[in-house]
Amino acid sequence: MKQDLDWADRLRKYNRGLLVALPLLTSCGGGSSAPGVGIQNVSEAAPRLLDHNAAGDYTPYYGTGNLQRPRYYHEVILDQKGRPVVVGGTDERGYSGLDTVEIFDQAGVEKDTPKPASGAGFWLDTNFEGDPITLANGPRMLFTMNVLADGKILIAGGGSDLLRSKLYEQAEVLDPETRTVESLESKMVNARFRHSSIQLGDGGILYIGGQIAAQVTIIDDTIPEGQPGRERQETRFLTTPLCELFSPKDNEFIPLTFPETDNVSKLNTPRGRANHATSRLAGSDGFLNTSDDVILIGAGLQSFSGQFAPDAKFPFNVARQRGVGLQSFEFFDPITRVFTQVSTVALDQPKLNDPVLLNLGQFNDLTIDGVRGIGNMAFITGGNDDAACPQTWFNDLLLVATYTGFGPANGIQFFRILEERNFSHLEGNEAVVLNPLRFFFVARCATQAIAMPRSLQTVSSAGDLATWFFTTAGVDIKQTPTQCLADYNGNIMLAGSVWDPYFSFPAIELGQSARDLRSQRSPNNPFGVIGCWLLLDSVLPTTDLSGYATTQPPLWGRRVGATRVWHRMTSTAGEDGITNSPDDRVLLVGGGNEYGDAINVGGEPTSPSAELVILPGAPSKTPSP
Amino acid sequence: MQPSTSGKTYGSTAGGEPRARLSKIVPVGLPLALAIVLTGTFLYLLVQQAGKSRDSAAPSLEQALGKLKEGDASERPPVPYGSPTNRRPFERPKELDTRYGGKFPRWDLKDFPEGWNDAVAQALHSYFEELQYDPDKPVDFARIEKAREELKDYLAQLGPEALATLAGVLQVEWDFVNRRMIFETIGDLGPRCPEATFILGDFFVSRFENPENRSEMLHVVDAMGHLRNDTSYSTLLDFIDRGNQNPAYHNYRDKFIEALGEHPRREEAVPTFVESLHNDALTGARNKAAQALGKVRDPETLSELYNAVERERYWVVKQTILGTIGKIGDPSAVPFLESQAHTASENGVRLSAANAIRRIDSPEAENALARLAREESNPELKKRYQDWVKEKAR
Repeated sequence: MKQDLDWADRLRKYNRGLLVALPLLTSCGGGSSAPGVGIQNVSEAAPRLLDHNAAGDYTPYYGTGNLQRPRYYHEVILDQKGRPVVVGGTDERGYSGLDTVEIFDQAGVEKDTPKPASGAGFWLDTNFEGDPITLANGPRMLFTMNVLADGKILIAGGGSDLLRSKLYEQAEVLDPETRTVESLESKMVNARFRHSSIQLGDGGILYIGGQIAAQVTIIDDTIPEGQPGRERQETRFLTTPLCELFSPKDNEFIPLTFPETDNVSKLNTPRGRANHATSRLAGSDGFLNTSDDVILIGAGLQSFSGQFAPDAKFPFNVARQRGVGLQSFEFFDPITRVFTQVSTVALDQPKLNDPVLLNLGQFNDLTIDGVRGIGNMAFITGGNDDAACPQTWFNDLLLVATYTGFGPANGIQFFRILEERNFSHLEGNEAVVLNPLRFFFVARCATQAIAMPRSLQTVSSAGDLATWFFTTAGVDIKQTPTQCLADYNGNIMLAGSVWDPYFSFPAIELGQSARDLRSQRSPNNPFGVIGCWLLLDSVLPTTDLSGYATTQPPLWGRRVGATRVWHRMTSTAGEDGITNSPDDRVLLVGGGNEYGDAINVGGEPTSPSAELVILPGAPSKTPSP
Repeated sequence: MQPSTSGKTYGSTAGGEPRARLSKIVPVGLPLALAIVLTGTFLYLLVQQAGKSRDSAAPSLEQALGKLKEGDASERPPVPYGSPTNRRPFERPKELDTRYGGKFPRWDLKDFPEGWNDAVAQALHSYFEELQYDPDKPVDFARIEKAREELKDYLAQLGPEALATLAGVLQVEWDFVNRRMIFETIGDLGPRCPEATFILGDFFVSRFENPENRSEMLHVVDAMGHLRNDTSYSTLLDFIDRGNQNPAYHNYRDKFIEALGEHPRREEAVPTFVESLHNDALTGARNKAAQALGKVRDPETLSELYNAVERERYWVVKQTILGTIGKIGDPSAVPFLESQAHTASENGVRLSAANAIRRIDSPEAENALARLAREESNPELKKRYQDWVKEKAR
């Protein structure tokens, strides 16, 4: 420090100036501190937020603290304490990546300090010594994250950009207690991206498919035979059927093999599958997260082989004739470790670019009338066909797995459940009924749908807790005769929707409660669930149609960030500080302002870079009828 | 079209009754049904675009969707499509089609600043054009990567004489990724070129109040952190000070402090860091101030840091302050740190205090760490402390 600088004097002067200039600023942080590292599964306490403001307006969306580095193409996961952890991504179209990690603390704004609309919310980006939280191996995107049994977060796969950079063989482990990241010594068996990962019953993590890098021989027809340069080696990113396991016990990745053998078990899609959706199903015992769960895998991309495979990590591979979109499903039986194609259910159109498979039993194994096994139902939504105009088709699909008890995976059978008359499975149906000339159904891509817990009146044995799904943002893309239209912020896109498994138009048509599942039960739909997309329009229908299609857009929810694509969504604890409880909120994290094209994704990051969503009924202390 | 599945249960479960139309069943549907009947357009749209109309004779949803997929455009009417925005990313970007003529058709150059260098501008213009997506050309990622690398190399070798041109291009280049490359270049010119500060400063001042520009402004401030010259030192101090009057400046204070923490004259900025550490309302600003003091590592700041730990209410900032005390590495800090490691209510703060002791190389620190490893009640922390004790012993 320089001797001629009396910084203490300067500080004193500066303080006086500050006191004059800023009488409203507090002298130091006031209010209560967040508890810090503490009780498991308890997030930082959040301020009370209602879905209506003091004037009675419907306000489910609240801008919250801005990310320290706004981004998209990142990943988010809840740590064991329920804090959303954001890792990697890009803020310049995928040309370069971000190596930083941020953790959301809803209590991170103190009393008498400038606040975001949500009243609180701070993205902390320093570790337990005050240094930036950065990845050990540099920028990363197109990876997956899983929470290990010891609370650490395993980050695996991906690459540093969407161009042709090398894939990461090395996984990394984030310790949420110290907020530091270390590179894992063990390398992945196959460095991959656009794969999926899911925890198995034994604690191992299964890495499914994705794209891997391979050197292929390119023949350049423009150069005569025998001339140098006609044949050259280039990198291609092929989809792979290969899978692998991470063993937390041994801290290493191993190929997925059949039990007690060295024979490799692969996806049952010959050239593999990437950018697909994966979900657990409950298995024949009807309970989710038990040893007989099966893993359902659907949709995605299958690349062409050799030189015709994708030549970079950007999307638009179907458009560029580097692969085809998949409509099929297959399932993995963790007992036999066999992948089997589903022959009875398929999508109407391919889904790529962030399709999601959601389990209807995520928060309760029982239906609201107490039937066990709803964890064997799944709903696939989102994504597009990745064509030159990457259309978002309205082909959400509800399926159920049943078990005969005979054959592989206990004789699993899949059935699709359709509801055609009232468009229950098409988002925006309320708006279309309200005004068919003004509104049309929407389907979203470059966003996610998320399963959320909900307090719902049930039979006493079912515990008043149900699962429903929420989606918002993204973009609805439609080919018209003359152009490719992209709707980012039409009224329905701004409002968002919930898919309520316990709202049944067919039951209403029979004069029954929309919650009555019995009339729709059959061998192919053992739970009687039909479900319906409902708009976040300030009135949510419950047992009948009295709240259905009754409001005009001024009363609908409106996102704060009007255009938000390639973001991520996660649940986060509400006022009770407990995750997976009915007052949980949705956190929209990051996003960009353009879907992109063959060499660009995401555009400029959206502002505000994060917002919270209060779902209908979440602030209420009493279950919804 | 994929075959339908056998799970289509609705409709057959109504006991053989004809499917009642929604509008007949629910009173609220009546006016809607009238609207449907009277409005032929509605039926037309639904049949053509979504699939199944409510008329039972209409094609099924799957058939209708299949028809859409097959792509008979002539059957599709114009779509009343909510409120589509003007963002149509799959069309040729308007900017690409907007050519301004002259030597630099990409840019709407009204005038050329003094010191403008045509050759530099021409090179930048060529690179930017090459990096621009052109749907009419096949995508060649090798070419894109090569052009980006060449552009980076080209920018890296530019000297202060290119500053005027870079400043001029910054005002007219419409692609934000290209602008970022220019920010970085100007930032890297800083040590050789005091004027570089004013280019970045002016760019910031003219745009920062629009929240939509936040991401870009963060990159501008990052570049300001690279300037490392006298003008950037005073400018960063000035921008920090402006936050006292203008909340929009205040929102970037943490970033200015972070940039100032990278400055070679950061030791002179200690009063600013200490002031922010004690008094800033923004958590992020206090946190970055503590972080910056960790770069200065001046033992004379220890008393301020102790004071700040006591006053600070947010556990993350406390951790950063403790980290800074550890980085200073003064053995005199051990008693304070040990006290924090024993008494702080937050596990994370106790962990940081113990870690700060770990960083100090002295017998007192070793003893303190050993005591903590014996006395800590939280098993997770205790295990970590024990590991650290073993590590120190090695």
